[in-house]
Amino acid sequence: MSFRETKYLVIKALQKGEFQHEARNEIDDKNLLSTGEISTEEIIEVIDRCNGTHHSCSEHHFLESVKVHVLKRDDWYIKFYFIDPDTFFISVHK
Amino acid sequence: MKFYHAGDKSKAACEQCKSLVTTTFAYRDVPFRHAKGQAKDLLVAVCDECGDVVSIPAQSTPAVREARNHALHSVEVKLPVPYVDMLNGGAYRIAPEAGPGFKKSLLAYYFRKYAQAPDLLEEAQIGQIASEIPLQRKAMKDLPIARLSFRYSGPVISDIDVLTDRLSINRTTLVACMARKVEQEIIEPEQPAELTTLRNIAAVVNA
Repeated sequence: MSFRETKYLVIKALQKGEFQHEARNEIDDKNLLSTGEISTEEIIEVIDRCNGTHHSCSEHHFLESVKVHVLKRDDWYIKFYFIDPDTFFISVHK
Repeated sequence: MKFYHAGDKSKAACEQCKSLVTTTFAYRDVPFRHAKGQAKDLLVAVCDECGDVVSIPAQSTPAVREARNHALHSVEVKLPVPYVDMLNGGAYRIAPEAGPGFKKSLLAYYFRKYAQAPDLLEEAQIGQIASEIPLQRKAMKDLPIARLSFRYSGPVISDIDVLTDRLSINRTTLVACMARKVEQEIIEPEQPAELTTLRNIAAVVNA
């Protein structure tokens, strides 16, 4: 999946509200999107400013076919992956 | 927004099962990783294999936010009754008509007073008072314990955090320190220096 496609899909997921936040029996309150401290609109603005240099990806640590994407821009750190039909956010913080 | 209901199905990565699993949405009480407290009756996705909470849908964000605000802004301490008597006594001396509820505002005043002025904190020997609290509490071990529970605004919580950090003490010891200062500055003196200021505050708070 290209960076352009990744960016398109994650923005679409945020716009449509088709996303979830990863949890391990607890709420990661440092994920500022999950706690509502940042809105979807604000995060979309950050992502929209990203280009390929702000993006990296790696294999999920136990789902080999899933790529975990990281966007770093303006001190924001946004980590997510896609499991169709949803997008899962792991981290959203400064 | 995609809106899930209890019983709806989804898929997720389960850390416990180390695999892609099907999930069922259900209501659960979920603790915060970094803050004390939990979000109660939160709609979450539960792993169908192991029962772990594996994800939280976007629609649950308002509930998470509210629960987190509540958790962050609650101050709950348990202290031997004499400390609560000091706070009640101070509140009564300032504003008898205000009732024991005024001690919440009185404490907030003291938190702000010392958080905003590190020199005053040192001058008032709050650190010395804090170091004496454990021994005092030990001497009071046979006395009844009272529970104080307040909800404060963000700025007051910041003041509390500044003081607990600066003095390296917990909130319980901090409240005990402030109770001792109320005893020293409001109850004991014939003419407490800040009585007029505090009476004005009481009048405004109880308006």
